[in-house]
Amino acid sequence: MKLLTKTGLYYLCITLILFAASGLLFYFSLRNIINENISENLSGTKEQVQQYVQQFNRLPTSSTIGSDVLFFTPASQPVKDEMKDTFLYNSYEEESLPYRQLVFSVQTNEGISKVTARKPLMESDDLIESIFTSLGILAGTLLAMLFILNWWLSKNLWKPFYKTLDGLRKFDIGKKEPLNLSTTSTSEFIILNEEIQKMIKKIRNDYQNLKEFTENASHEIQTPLAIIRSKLELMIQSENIPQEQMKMIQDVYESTNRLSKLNQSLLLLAKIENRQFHETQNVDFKNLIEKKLEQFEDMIAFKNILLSPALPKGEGVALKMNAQLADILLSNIIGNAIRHNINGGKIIIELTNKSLTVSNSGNLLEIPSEKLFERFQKGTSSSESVGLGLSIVKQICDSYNFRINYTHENSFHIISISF
Amino acid sequence: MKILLIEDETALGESVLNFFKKEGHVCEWVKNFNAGDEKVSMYQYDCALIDIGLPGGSGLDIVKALKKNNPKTGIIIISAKNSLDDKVIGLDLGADDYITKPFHFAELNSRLNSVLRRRNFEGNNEIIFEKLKIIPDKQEVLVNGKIIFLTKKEFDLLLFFISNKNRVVTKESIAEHLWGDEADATDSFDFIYSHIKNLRKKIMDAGGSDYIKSIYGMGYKFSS
Repeated sequence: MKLLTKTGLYYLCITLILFAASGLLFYFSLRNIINENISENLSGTKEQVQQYVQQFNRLPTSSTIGSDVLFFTPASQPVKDEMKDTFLYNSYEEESLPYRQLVFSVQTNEGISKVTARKPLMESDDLIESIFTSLGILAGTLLAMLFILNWWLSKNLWKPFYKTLDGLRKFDIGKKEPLNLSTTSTSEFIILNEEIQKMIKKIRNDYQNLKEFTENASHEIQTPLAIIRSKLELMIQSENIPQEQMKMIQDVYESTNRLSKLNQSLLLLAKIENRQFHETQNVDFKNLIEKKLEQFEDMIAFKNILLSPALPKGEGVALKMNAQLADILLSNIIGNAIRHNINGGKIIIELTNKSLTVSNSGNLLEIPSEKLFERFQKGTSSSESVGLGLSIVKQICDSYNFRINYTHENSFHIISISF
Repeated sequence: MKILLIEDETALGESVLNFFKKEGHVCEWVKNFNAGDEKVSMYQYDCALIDIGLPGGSGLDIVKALKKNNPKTGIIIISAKNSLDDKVIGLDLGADDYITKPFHFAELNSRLNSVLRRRNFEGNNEIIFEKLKIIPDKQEVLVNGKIIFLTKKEFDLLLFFISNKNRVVTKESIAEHLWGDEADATDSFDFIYSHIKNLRKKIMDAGGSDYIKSIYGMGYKFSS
C-alpha cells in the first residue's frame, strides 16, 4: 500500500471518529441548552402568571401571557411546583410529541387554581438529523480536500522520493552507470540521496575491490607457480634421483599443474565478471564446433566415444560475441562431455539457430543438479577437474543473456543453451 | 646462441639461466627495465626473453627499442597476464612469440628454438639428429635419406622432442604443446601415448633407432 494511501486511510479513520464524537457532544450540549432555555421560559411564564394574578386578581388567558399552552384547573389546596417532561398526542402530526410542563398553583378570589404550562421540546430525531447532515457535509468536504492534498503532495512534494526509489530499482552494481537520483530542495530527501550515494559508492568500491582481489591474487600466484614449476622441471632433468623421490617430484609437479589450471580458471572467471572481453564479432558456431571437434579428435577416439553431431546444413549459425569467449564456451562444454563420459559412450551435439544442445552418456551426478553451475562443484569425485568449467560456461552465458539448462534423460546428461 | 633474459623474479630467472646454460647457450640476465634497456642498446643478442611487468618500466618499451636497434634479434615476451591485449600489442610491436607464466621449460625451449631457427636460417634450415633429418618449413622428415610420412601431430611431436633432446619432457608439457587447453578434456594424458607409439614405429620401420624412452611415469626422453 502506498504511503500516501496509508496516511489517507488514517486521516479518514480519525476524521470519522472525531466527527462522530463531536456530533454526539454537539447533540447533547445543544439539547441541554435548548432544554434549559425551555425551563427558563416556563419559569418566566410562571412569573408572568403570578404577576397577572397579583395585579388583576383573576386568571389570565393563554393569549395574554403569550405562552403556548396554559391550562387552569381548580384545586382544593396549593400544589408544589413540578417541572417534568411528558409526551402528548398531536393529532396534526399524528404522533406523540415531547413536551415540558411546569405545574404550579395560584391563589385568586375564586380560590386556588392549578396552572399547567407546557412547551414543546425539540424533537431529538430532527436535531440529530440536522447535526449529522451538517457534520457529514463538513467531513465529506474535508476528506475531499485531504485527497486533493495527498494527490498534490505525491505529485509535487514526494516526487523526488519516488524518483530516488525508481533510481534504486534500476540500479545494477555490475554496470558502471551512475545512480540517477533526483534534485530536490527538501532537506530530508537531500540527506536521503546523499546517504544513498555514499552507500552506493562504498558498495561499488567494495565490489570493485573484491573483483580486483580475485584477479590480483590470481596474477600474483602465477609467478610463484612458475618458479615452482621451473625448479621441478630442472630437478626432473637430474639423472641421479632415486625412483621413489622421482615419484614424489611427479606428484608435486602434477599438483602444481592442477593449481596452475585452477588459478587460470579463477582468473578467467574474474575477467569475464569484470567484463574484460568487450570486443565482439560474429562468431560462426557451426564452424567453431567443427574446429573444436577436430581438436578433441584424439581424446574422443581415446575414450572410444561415438560422436553424432547434428549441425545445420549449409549456412552457419552466427552469434555476436567475443571470439575468445565463444572458444572457451565450446571447449568447456564439449570437453566436459568427453571428460565425464564413460568409455565407449556417446556424445550428441545439436545446433540450431536458436539453441545448442550437448548430450553425453555418463555416470550419475553426485551433486544436486541445481548446484551444477556453482563454483567448485564436481559432478564426480573421481574427476581430476577443479569444478570451474561449468561456472565459466554459466558466466559466459549470463554475460550474453543466453539461457543455460541442465537435464538428465535416459541416462544422458543434457546441457542446452538457448541464444 | 646468445640470449638475454629480462626477468625480475630472482628464483624464476635463476632457473631459466640455469636451464639455458645447460642447453649450451650463453645467457645474460638482468632484473629491471633500465638494465634491460641498457643491455639491448649496447649488445647484440640472438634472442631476448622479456617480461612485460618490470620494475622501472614496461617490457613492451624494450621490445620497441630492440626492434629499432637490432631488428634481427628474436623476441619472446613472458607475461604473468594471460591477456589477449598484451599478446596482440606485443606481437604487433614485432615480438616473435608470447608465453604465459607458469610455463613448461620444454615449451619455452621449443619456442626459443623455433624463433632461433627462423631468425638464423631464414627458414631454409634443416635439423639433423643421428639418422633423422627434419626440414621444418616443408614439414618433411627423412630417415636415412628416405622421406617418412607423419601426421601433423606426429610431426609437431617430433619437432618438440628434437628441440628438447636429451631432456625429460613431461606428459603435461607434450599435451599442452600439441593440444593446448583442450588437453584438459580427459583426466589422464594417456591419449598422447598412441601418437608416441606411432611416431616411434614409423621411425623404426624406416631404419631409425628407438629414440623415445619412457621415463618413470613422468614423461619421455628423446635421445640417441
